[in-house]
Amino acid sequence: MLTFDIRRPSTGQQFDNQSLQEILLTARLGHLQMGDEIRVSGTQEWMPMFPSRAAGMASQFPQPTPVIPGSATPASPGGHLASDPGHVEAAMPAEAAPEITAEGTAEVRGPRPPQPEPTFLVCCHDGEDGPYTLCQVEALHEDGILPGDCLLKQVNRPEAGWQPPTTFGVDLPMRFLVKWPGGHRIEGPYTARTIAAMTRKGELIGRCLFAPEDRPDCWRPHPDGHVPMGHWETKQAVASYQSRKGTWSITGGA
Amino acid sequence: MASGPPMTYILRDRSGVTREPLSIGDIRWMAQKGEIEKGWTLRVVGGTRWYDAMDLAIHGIRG
Repeated sequence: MLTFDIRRPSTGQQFDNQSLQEILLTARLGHLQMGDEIRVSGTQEWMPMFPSRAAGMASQFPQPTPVIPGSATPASPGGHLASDPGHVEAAMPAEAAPEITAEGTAEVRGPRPPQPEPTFLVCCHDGEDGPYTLCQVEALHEDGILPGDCLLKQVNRPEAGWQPPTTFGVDLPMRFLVKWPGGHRIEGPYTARTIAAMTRKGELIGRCLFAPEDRPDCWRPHPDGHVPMGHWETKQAVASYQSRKGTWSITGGA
Repeated sequence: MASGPPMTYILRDRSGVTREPLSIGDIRWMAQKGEIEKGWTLRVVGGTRWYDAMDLAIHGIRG
């Protein structure tokens, strides 16, 4: 069986004859870090586990909690490994993992080039914008910039044409208008998530009324007389609002 | 639900003077203070389209 040696030049630690399975498990547990090197056992050529490009990407993600050797805390689900080359500073990007070929043999290839995140042009009823990632589309909807009925066209697949966001797995959440007591001030539309955040900051008061953005004549107070923070925040609550479109009631929810 | 970093915006007044980066909260606060006027536009940083700031981005004070 093909085995590998891994080492950490910064500490001088080295673990020889590791199976691919062991290395993958070590990587999954986050026990590898930038600067670690790997080679096929019996050969002399060390290769970096993480190419510099991956190092740049890793800096954009939260770092895992350091592992306490021997512990079985959630931060180190497997506890200490015999092959543990040390504590965790960075998780191993998937693209740097050795691959198993179709024949079932392990083979260390160069890192797969990272796939760029797809971007989309956005078409609203009166113009186009973009390109944006799907996350940005969601954020722009949440900020009130993009309407829920916008269409998306993938930049590198224009032949697919304009499609609703759901085609790409994005379900833009329902939004609500907020009317302040007296009716002179109407804000929104806000998603339930934004309403929850505004409530936390004390930006909404209990006597506000709410209406779905596509039913601005259908104002409802919350029956409890205050903005129910937990109610707005749960995904279940949002779903219940959507299911009640038509006979909308703010009393629905989790 | 959106989980990325918050979007940032460029606000442009009628004379073409721009302010950036602004969050939607900044813009909403400016609108509530009456600091945004008719003819002002805003664009997403990284986007291409200018939106009517009074009409669209300003959540507050619709009524």
